[in-house]
Amino acid sequence: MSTAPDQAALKRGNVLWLMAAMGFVIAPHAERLPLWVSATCLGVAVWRGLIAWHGRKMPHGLFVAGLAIATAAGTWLSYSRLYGRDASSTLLILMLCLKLLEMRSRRDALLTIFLGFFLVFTNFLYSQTVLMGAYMLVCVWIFMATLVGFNRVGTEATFRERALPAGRIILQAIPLMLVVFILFPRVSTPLWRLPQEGTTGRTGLSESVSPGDLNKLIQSEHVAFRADFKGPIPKNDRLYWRGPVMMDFDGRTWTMSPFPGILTMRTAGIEAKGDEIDYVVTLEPHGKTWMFALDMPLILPSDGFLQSDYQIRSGAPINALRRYEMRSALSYVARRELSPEARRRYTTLPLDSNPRATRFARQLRTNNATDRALINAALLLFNQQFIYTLEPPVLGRSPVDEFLFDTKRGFCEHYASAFVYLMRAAGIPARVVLGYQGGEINTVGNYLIVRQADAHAWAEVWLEGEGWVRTDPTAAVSPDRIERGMDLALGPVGVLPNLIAADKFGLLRQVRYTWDAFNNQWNQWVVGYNTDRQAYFLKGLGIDSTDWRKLAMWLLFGGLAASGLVGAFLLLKRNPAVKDPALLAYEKFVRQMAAVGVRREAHEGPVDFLHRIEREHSDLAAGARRVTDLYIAVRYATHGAIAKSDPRIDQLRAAVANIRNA
Amino acid sequence: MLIERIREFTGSGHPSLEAVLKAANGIILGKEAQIRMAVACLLARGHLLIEDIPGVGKTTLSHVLATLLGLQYQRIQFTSDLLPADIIGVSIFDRETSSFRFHPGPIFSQVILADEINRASPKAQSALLEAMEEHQVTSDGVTRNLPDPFFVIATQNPIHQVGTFPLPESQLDRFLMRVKLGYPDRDAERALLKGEDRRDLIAHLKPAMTPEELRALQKEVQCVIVSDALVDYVQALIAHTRDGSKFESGLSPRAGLAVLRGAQAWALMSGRKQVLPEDVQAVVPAVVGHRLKAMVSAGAKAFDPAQELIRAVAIP
Repeated sequence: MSTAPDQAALKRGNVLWLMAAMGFVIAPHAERLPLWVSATCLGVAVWRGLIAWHGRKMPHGLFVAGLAIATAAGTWLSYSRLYGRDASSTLLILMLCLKLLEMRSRRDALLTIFLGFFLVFTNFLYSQTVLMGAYMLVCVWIFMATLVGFNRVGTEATFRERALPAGRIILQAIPLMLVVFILFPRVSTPLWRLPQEGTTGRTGLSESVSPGDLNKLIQSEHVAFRADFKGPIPKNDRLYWRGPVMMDFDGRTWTMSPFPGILTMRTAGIEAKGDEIDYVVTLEPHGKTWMFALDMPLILPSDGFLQSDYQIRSGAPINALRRYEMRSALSYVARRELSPEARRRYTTLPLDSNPRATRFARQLRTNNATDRALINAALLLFNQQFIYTLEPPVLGRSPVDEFLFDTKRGFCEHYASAFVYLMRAAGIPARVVLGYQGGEINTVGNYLIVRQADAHAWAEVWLEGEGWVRTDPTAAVSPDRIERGMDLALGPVGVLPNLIAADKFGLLRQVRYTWDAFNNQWNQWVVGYNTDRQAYFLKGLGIDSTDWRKLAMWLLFGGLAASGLVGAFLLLKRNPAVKDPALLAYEKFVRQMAAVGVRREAHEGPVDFLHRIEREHSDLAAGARRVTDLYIAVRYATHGAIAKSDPRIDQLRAAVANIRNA
Repeated sequence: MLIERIREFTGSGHPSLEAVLKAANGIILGKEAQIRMAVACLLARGHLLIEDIPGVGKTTLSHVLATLLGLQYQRIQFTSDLLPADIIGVSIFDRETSSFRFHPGPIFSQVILADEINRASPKAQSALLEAMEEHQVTSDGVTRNLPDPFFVIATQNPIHQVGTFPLPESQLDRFLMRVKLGYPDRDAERALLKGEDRRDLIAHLKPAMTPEELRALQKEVQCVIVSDALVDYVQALIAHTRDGSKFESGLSPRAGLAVLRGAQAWALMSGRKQVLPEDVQAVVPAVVGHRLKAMVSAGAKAFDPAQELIRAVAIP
């Protein structure tokens, strides 16, 4: 085999395009890559540039092999493994860059391009947004254009000569892509779900809550999830999205129960009192296992399970967009009976952590005959003396005491925590529930956007005969927060909401809603297009997706149809159907003959056809003979193209029209 | 009346041409179609290859054609030890003039009957190549023109017969047409068996046409109208052979020209001034039969490439 560099591979323009394409596709990875990887890639690019522009020699194969081993070792050192999402994509990027240094022939270049397409795919392991999709489409285009350049014989392709055919090729691929996307059998989770490594620092609720935790979250405009209601969207003060439930308290921090029991919907003891609400939640990845539902859930998502504290957990961390259908009862009775053991656990408090609060609770107990009265007294206290603020004073070692008796300023988790403490100290089973409250109605798509800023903490107490009852002390302090939402209670938080608030005509808000609605559609139909979604969509088309054989048939049929359509379109475009008028007239004659039973074979010449008509339909022979005479005279007895104005064409048309009378 | 019933071999309107056909049919019985094709080939100024098993009248046909067309002819019997010089001629030292004198070989005549051409070695076969394409031969650095008209009528045995060298593709491509004779039918054979000796008949055969008449006809063939629509059809035929699924290799541009020229001659012989798709279809088996090789794939039925081609391509 010849090792002489292939001319096409060495054309500078082609090399530049290839390096640019790789640069574009690696760019989104750059912020995640260790610095040395980016540096290596840049170095290799510069080196390849020197080879192409200054005629430097290609490095020896052994040298490149050494580099490959060294970078693989470096990857192992950086990630302490070579598999998994981060390490693998890093390794792929490095090896692809090194391939530039041994790109001697066209074959090498093509290999590099095809691996580049694979690299495009790796970006979706990190982000599945519309913007990333659009950007990757651009990357595919650049790779395509590079491919066009490498396949060109002769002079180097110009920008137009690359970009236009590449664009056309991509457009031609779209019908087939759609068919495969729609019909290809889905696994129940998205394709790009990979085990997550390390802490990825996603915003969201956590397993514990201590004073000051949530107000960091409140600053975040990130979407937590979207909810699409089958019926009208309930009022804001009824939208309590239940998340992690806190059971244990160490005097400062609430934590989840380490060993929660698992319930089924049958054993959950939830009785719906009133309307049941159906909705679909599209949950953004948050790296934890909980799945949000309105208080109280009546069904479970397919891979979710219900804990004894009524939080829905997923079997695995939610690292990809998850879409699930839910049904909830906004009015309910939950768990009429509570076991002595549970009662004990829900009234447990650390000894001597907040002595003043404990004393105050005992005082409340003696002053109030019933639990209800006690609760109301506590809420009244909050309502009269406390201030709701996002910037509460810092609390010390006994946060409940300090909050209740000194600072009296706080945020939802302060109130929930203090309230639950008081309840437990007074002997009423109680717990802190984290989640989201309310949400923003997107008027464009008519669905609810719940952001991290809607994070909330509230309390649940268990009352004899009534079961678990939600009590939101924040509502007592700042009813606006619950009834009208965070923005109206505290004023807009963050840059964008401030801008929106300043926007008198609501234009920005409209743009934002439209963009979010678009994202929502993308999430629903593209990223979240899973087995259920596919089944639902295909059912609308009348295709049974449960039978994989049928699905395969449809896939084959659809793929052929899509390719056929594109092919037919291309063929028609190549041969514009400007037909010879004589031929059109003759074809009409052929159709007339077919109608009386004499079908012309595609390869049958006019005279042969005439002979057959004479044999099989002698009554039409005279007319057919005249048509054939004229047709031959016009179509075959002329040099060059036929003049459109030839009078014989009209004669031919007339002969065809009068075939029966001749 | 414009339309003639071409499949039934109507007259061309040229008495001498009709005389040639009639006389030939009188000697070689029951082979009207093949004789007509052979004459068309010569009218289209093409070389003719006659292929069949020994004894069906290949040589007779070539003799008859040469004689009837009034052309001076030479026969070369190809054998495995035939040398190029045996065809082209040699330069021999002449003592009297003290110089080399060229003794022209049999190729310097208007018709060459290359008998059993595939029995010769490829080396000898290649000596014919230049002559067939360029109508000239080069020997000892001197190029000599061949007479006009110049035809090669070659006969060959089927390839699978013992002691044959298959003609190279390059040489096959230079024959405008290949005609297969086949066994005569029952009546023709009976007439043959009972009739006079063919050799006696040929010996008494008189030319039915002068070389001038032949040249005039050849010119007329070139004037037969080929419309754009017909060229479309020929191109469609060629394109079909090149798409690579049915045939080992597609038809060459020379083959395309051969189809057109053959069809022009065929049209003329049917007394028409324009080529019809039917003319093309009539000559396609003879023109492409030796140029196309059906792709052989396991389990696939063998097929006649020419018929397959005609059936597969719609007339545009």
